Amino acid sequence: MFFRRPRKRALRIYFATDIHGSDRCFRKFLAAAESYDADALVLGGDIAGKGLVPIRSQNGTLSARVRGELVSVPRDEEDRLRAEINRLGFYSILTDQKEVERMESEPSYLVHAFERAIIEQIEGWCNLAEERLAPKVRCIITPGNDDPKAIDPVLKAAPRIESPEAEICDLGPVVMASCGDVTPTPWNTEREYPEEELAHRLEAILDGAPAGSKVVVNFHCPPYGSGLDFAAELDPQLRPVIRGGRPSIIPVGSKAVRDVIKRYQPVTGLHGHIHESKGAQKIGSTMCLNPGSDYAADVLRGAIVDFAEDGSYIDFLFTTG
Amino acid sequence: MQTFSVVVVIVTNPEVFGAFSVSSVVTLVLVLGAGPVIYLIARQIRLQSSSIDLRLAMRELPPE
Repeated sequence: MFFRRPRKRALRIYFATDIHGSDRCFRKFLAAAESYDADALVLGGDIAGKGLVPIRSQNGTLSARVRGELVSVPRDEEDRLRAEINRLGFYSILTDQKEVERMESEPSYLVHAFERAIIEQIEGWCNLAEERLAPKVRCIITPGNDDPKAIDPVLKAAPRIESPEAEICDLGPVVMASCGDVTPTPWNTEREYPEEELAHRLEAILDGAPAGSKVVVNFHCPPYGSGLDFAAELDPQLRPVIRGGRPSIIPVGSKAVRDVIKRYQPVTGLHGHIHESKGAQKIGSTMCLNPGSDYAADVLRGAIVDFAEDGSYIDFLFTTG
Repeated sequence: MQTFSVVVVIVTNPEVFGAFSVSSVVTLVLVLGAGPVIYLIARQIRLQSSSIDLRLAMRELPPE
């Protein structure tokens, strides 16, 4: 049992997810191709940051409100301040008092500025991928529920990036079905659907897979009750619910995802969405993985997954890079 | 340096920390040495059946 020969791998995927605008994590993601000898990099959604922080410039001092706290630094520490804001999953914009007031009084102006910041960052990342990745490495980035739909055309237009959202993508021994849609969350994001509709959307994608092909699903939302979807229960004011003196932890994945995995039995399920629920779980013969996310600590969590020539799954390894 | 000072205090105060004997030192060495040995054996066993080297789990990714 211990000394059976490993099957020869024909494809190695490196999967990471939920980097939420972390520039450092994206750079690590690109480096993973060489460090882990991966044939394909897959970034499974929630790549956009969580908000925009305006930095006021006044009399040689920069000030910004970071997580409700007013931070002031000398002008020459701009890079450090912006890096700290980015580490928290936010973008920053250097601006004057007048524009800050406009952002505070005009929500649509703030939304547009935020979207512009996301798109600028993703365009920069696409260029970086082109510079850094070896030609043989495939780079697949699909959106998640926290990513505005405005990023889809940006990803599609990037020559070095593939973004097969809601499509089947041929990876050689396996094909990959991707979907960044999730069930409703307390944050009302753009890609949320009720279970029934999500089931139809997932089925429509999987029905497009060639008959007899081995499928990997890259579904941002983890399957319900799989252990890959445990998160703190929140009340309507988004505060953690306390039961018995402890935060209540509940499954928040999708029953539609669980059911399609049970029915279609892909070889592997790659999931994210719930940062704190890192784990691996078999559903039937499908190995479902959620590498979790720790982007705020500049740590890129991921999973290496190997496949044999016939498309069967060989093994996986969670990584911390 | 701090670790070294702690070790000196422990060794020079047997009435507080207990006396050292051959068996206690051997036990200490075995317990501390067992970790790397178990890791190396586990890695070799895993390499026989898996295509992924366990060392990759904690490999640092260069962001630059």
